[in-house]
Amino acid sequence: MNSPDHIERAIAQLHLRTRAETDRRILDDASAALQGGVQKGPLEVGFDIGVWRTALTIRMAKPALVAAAILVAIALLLRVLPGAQPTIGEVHRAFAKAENTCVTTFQAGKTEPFQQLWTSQTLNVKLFKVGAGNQTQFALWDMPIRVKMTKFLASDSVQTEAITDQMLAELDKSAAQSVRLFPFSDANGVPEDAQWSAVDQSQVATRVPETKVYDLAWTAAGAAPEAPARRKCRLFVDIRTHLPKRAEWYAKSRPEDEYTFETFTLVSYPSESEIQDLIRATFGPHPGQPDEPEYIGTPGTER
Amino acid sequence: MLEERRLIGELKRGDKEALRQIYMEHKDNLLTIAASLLHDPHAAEDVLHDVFVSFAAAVGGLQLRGGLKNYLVASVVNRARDVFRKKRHHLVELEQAGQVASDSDGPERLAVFGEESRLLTDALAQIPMEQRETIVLHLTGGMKFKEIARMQGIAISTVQGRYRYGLEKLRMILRDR
Repeated sequence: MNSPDHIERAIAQLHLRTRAETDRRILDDASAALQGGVQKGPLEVGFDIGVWRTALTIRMAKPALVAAAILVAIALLLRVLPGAQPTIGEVHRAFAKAENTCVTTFQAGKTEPFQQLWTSQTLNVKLFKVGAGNQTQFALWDMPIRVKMTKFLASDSVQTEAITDQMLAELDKSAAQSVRLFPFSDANGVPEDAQWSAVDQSQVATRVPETKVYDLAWTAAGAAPEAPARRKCRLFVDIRTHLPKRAEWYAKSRPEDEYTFETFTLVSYPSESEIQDLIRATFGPHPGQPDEPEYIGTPGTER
Repeated sequence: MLEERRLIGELKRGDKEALRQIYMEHKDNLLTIAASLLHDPHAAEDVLHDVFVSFAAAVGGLQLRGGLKNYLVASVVNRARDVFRKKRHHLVELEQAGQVASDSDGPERLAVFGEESRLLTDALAQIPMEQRETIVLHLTGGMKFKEIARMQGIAISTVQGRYRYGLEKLRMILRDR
């Protein structure tokens, strides 16, 4: 295989086939994305074109379309006005769209968190912090290069391993369990008997500025089938963005009991560079390149 | 071309069957391009996934100037460049730290291509990304030099030069095997 002709022919004949499970995964995800893409299509086009062209388009549009556009604009306006009550689904979606989040979970009455999870959708990484003091562990899941790095503070050592599909599946489960922010994976999973209601601020001991408080209460399977547990998740939701800032979890065994406060979660929304700085501070710069982080990630600006 | 327009039209109306047809038509070629550029079939599958999910998500506002195939190929190349850049940077640092070896000799990858193809893709991985892109886009993607030039925003003579130099390097690498 040494003549240019032969090389060209051989490259032209290179052929890979996708695996059946890959096809399924991609088609499933793309089909789900298609629904959103079709629904938001005209809106995105509207944002892409300039103001002048928008004005021209509106002037030429049929009155019904203009009326519809005005109604949509009013609806959008109402959604961002303070005081509009979001549904649990809207809070869920607002959080899912947040590019960078930090979720810190505490046991009731404790001041030291038992877990922290930083997630960056722009960098496509997750960073877990578990344990306390000398026993603290950090685990960085760097998805773009499918590498997991674990730092053990006790030994000041870093362990690196390739991320497998099985590890990814386990990560999804453990992240969902550890976040303790929403009781259900999405709004579709909320039980029929669940009640979502605004809470009178005067009844709430904790104050979180610029938020409104909502309770989601539902019946969960208890220790015994005949004794279902009653659970409540109290969410402190930003009045403008509808992003959750704090969640409190309560449970009780019998209807006549008072709810017991179990855990609470604080949510912050750091910048991409803050997460990068944290990773650099945790895993350290490379000895040969003190100005460069060992971790690189996927800077959003490159997209 | 008419068939392609029909499919795009149906896709914009949310037709999943149109999406499936487009995917089945292009998937293997796009995967081969991504794997040839990245020298890593797993990363190539991720690229294919990201490209189709983004394509489906953006279809409402999609306005194709060229053909659909070139649009998808350009999307794959852009994603592959991102992955390549990050992977190279990260692996270099990890290797310098003595923590991991490069994954370029992984047994899974060896099993994906046949022996001759493996030699070829190993050689492709050794030439600069710009030359690799030009060769793969022309030979595997079936793009003309002027289409590659338009896609990359460079002169057609530059594309031809990269192709020629890249092919010459491949010849030298394979001669030494």
